[in-house]
Amino acid sequence: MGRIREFFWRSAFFPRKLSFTREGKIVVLISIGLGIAAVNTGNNLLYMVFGLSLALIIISGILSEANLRGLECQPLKSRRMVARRQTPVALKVVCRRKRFPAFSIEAWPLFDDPGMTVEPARFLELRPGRDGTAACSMGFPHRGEFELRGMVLSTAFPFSFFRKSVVVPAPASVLVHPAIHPVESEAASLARSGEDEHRPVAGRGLEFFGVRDYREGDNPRHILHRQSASRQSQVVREFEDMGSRSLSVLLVNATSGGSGGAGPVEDAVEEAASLAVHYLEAGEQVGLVTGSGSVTPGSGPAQSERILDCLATLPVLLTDVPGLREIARRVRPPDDGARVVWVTARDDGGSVG
Amino acid sequence: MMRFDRLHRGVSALTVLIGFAVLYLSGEFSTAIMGGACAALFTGPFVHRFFVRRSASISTNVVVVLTGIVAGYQAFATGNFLYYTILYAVFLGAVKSLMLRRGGDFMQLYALSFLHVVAGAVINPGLSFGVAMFPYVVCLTLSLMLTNLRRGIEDNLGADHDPTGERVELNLARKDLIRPGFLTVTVGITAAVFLISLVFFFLFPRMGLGFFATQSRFGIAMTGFSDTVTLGDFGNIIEDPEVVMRVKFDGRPTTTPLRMRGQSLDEYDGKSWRKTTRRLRGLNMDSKARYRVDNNEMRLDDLDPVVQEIYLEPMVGTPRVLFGLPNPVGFKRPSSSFAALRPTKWRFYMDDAHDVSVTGPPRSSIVYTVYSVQQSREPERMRSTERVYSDLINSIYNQLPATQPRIKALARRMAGDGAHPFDAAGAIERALKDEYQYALNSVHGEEDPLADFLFRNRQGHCEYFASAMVVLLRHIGIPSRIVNGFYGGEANEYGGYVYLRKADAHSWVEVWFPGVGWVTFDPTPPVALDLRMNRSWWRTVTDAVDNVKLWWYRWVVEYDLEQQVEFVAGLFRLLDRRDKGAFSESGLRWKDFKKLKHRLKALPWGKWALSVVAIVALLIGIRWLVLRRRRSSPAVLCRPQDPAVKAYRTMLKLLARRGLARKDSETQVEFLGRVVLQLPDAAHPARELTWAYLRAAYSSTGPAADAAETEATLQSLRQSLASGQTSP
Repeated sequence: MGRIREFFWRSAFFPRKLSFTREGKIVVLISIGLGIAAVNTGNNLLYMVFGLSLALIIISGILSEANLRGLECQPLKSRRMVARRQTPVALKVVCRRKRFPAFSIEAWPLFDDPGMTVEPARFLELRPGRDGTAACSMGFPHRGEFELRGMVLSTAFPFSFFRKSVVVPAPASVLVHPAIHPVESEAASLARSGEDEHRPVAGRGLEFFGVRDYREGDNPRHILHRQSASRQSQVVREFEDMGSRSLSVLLVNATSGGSGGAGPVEDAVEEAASLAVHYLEAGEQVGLVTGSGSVTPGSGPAQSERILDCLATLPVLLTDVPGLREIARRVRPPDDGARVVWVTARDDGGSVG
Repeated sequence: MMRFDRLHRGVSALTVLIGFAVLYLSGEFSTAIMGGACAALFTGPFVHRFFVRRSASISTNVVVVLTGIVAGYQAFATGNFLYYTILYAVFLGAVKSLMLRRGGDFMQLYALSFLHVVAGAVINPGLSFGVAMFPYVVCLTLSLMLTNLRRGIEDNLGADHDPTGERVELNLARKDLIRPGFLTVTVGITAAVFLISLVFFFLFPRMGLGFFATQSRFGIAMTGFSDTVTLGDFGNIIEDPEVVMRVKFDGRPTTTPLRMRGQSLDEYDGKSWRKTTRRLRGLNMDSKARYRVDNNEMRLDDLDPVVQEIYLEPMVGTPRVLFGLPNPVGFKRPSSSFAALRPTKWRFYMDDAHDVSVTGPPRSSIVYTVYSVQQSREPERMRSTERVYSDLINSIYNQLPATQPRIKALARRMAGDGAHPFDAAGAIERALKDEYQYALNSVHGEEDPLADFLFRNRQGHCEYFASAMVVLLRHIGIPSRIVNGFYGGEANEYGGYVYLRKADAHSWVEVWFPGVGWVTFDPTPPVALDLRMNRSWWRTVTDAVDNVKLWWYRWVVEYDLEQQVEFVAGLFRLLDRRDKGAFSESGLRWKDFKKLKHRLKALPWGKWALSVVAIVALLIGIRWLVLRRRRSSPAVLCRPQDPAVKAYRTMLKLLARRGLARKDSETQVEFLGRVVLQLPDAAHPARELTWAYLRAAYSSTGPAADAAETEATLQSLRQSLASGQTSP
């Protein structure tokens, strides 16, 4: 039954989707019973009540159809969501009718994934020629790219016997970022405490790094005159390279197919996303290196989106142990001396290494 | 504007109340029961918060289950399943009305109310059901729509996660929820529901398979018209105003009082009258489908009969006696082109006393036509009749119980010695009228009530007067019999008919005159009859109500397949007024359908042509519906597809043709990396197109990509792919 319903909902051949409410099922059952009773007994008053029940059903069908006419729904604006979290999205519906208002309208985006939870946006009344905006809440079961089939406009008006829905095609994709968790203080402090692989190098920057002999082309303003005098040769001040202030999250997005399947890698992805967001919010430059691609270090909200976009569609590589080693070798820290945070998959979940 | 919650609860209460009223007006349920249910209905709005408590809810459920068990037990014990089932449904409705909190509760209440109305349809076929239906449709429609709105509000406010319900209640108390637009739509919907209900009612085929029961009405309880009538029976019904018969005259002015003869009784045992002439024979039908009572050679039309169309209510406890003016000569069922559709064949029978009865369903009304000829009572002609009676007449109509000398003496005194039977009958009639008094509640001795009436009490109602006259006449050897029927009636100005009530039940006398037949005499004092026919001040109202009631019974309660076909034929006639060629002048007949069918069948390729026309019409209809739907279907407020998205999809196709397809597990950026590695010549345009796509697909802000620029990049990619080499 569920499959048939699913087919019915996905099928473009049936643009109108009709489903019974609990009350609707009762009304239909009562009507069938009344019809049988009326035909059997020939009692005209039963025919009259039977006629009333049929009239209610027919009017319900006609009015629900009329109630959906002349409505326009704004497509989904937000194209980035977060997995496993109900995200409210504003939906706008316009009533293009000239005379009669539309009542009890619900709207929501229709995705192909059956695991999605959607709380529709509800409009009690849409007056003719006006529009309304209401919040729709969506929950994605996992990260990834979700195909939006269209926008659904639905109504149980006028009697709540049936729910008639129309899927208006509006194909689009929504990128669902991995869920972000609060970063455990222990994991965060590991990166700061120096136990990570922090190798400062000289370069452009503001922080003092060391002293060296003057070379042609050095900025004369960096010459340390007192020390040059004592050494009898010109020395200049050297600065720590900015790259050494950045942090790279190294994620091995592969598993040898343990008992947890892809689950541990998914946990690791969420861990990596959480760490990246945490450090970015702390004002650091964060990059991402995975077995399937990398994001160069950067800072700010745009970098956060870049990293999360990458993590959203990061494949989970299933391989044997040698393959796993090969992938782990590919995930190597950059040569710019940036600090690194290792996130690997374990059978019992992600870990920071 | 009223507060939404108050309006909703008020309309819901009214809906349920109408359901209760339909049941109450059936007379099956006591005032105490229905009063209690109504009290619960109106207490509900004040106590529903109490039932939120878990303990109260559990207690209520326990009470409901226990009551169900008791009702079930009672139903089995008494065998009255219908009564106890309905009673339990009333109880459930009353309980539910105390617990109305959420939209779902209201819907359950309406379902119960609908069941109450269904039960009312079974036990209350009266006009009160029809009167209640209109407000019920209005209230039910409005209630359902308000509940729909309420559920929308509850869902919006997340009532599922609001155990106290305070937030929802606050919102439901708003006055601005119902706008004039909502009320306008409601009125329109109510009208539509009503109209469609009527269409269904009149057009739904009355197949009447009757597996379990047949269509019937509760008959009027009537005494005095069975084969045995105990003296005094009429006294019980003489004040009952229920209408039992309606008479319409064909082309003659309606005059009252009417004397509608029913059946005669011949044998008297001192306490009750009995019919001994029970042998029945079927009546012969003439060329106009009229059943002749006598074997007169004259044509019925030549007798210049008074034609009466009679609508006779079903009666309980009586054989199907047909009433009509005295001296009936013919009977007829209403003419119909579709008489063959009648489920039951009605047959007219006449017994040896020339009383006519009919076979048919005992609990349905009868509509029939009676042809009666007026009696000739010219004294000269009557006095010229013979005094000699046949043995058969003597044996039946001069029968007496143990003769009492004082009654015989009284008869002789009243009639006068040696008078002609006509004069003797007239004298006794006058004497009874003059010397005795009409009284409804007089008490007579059980041993010999008639002697008590004649010699001690000297007052009684029509049965005593008629019985006394028959016994007196038989004591002096004049054959006579008592006749029961109705006398009186009131003209209904709205319907153009005369209606007779149970209170008009009457007994009188028929005296046999050889060569003339049975002649009517009525010894009951006319003053009494005039008193009985007194009108109440609201006669106009009752006339109108009776007219509506007649319409209700004929067109709703007793609406059958025959009437249905007549109704449809009438519609055809209306539509077909301009072209009478296809059907007869008198309208559509059953045989016309057959004729049309045969004509169509006879046409060469007629069936195929018809099929093709039907299919083409169907296709045109579907096409029209689809186009209409498309024109007004809901739409998405969507900017035209972004050129970047379009271009990226084209790029994917182009690359796939070169053997470089994007994998499902690959992100756009990863795929770009592969393109750069394997098709270095196409790297630049591919990068441009990929980033343009990512901006369009995942960025909610910013302008759409420039179409010309994107097209140029795509063109560049095509050229690169055409000239470039794939890296290994």
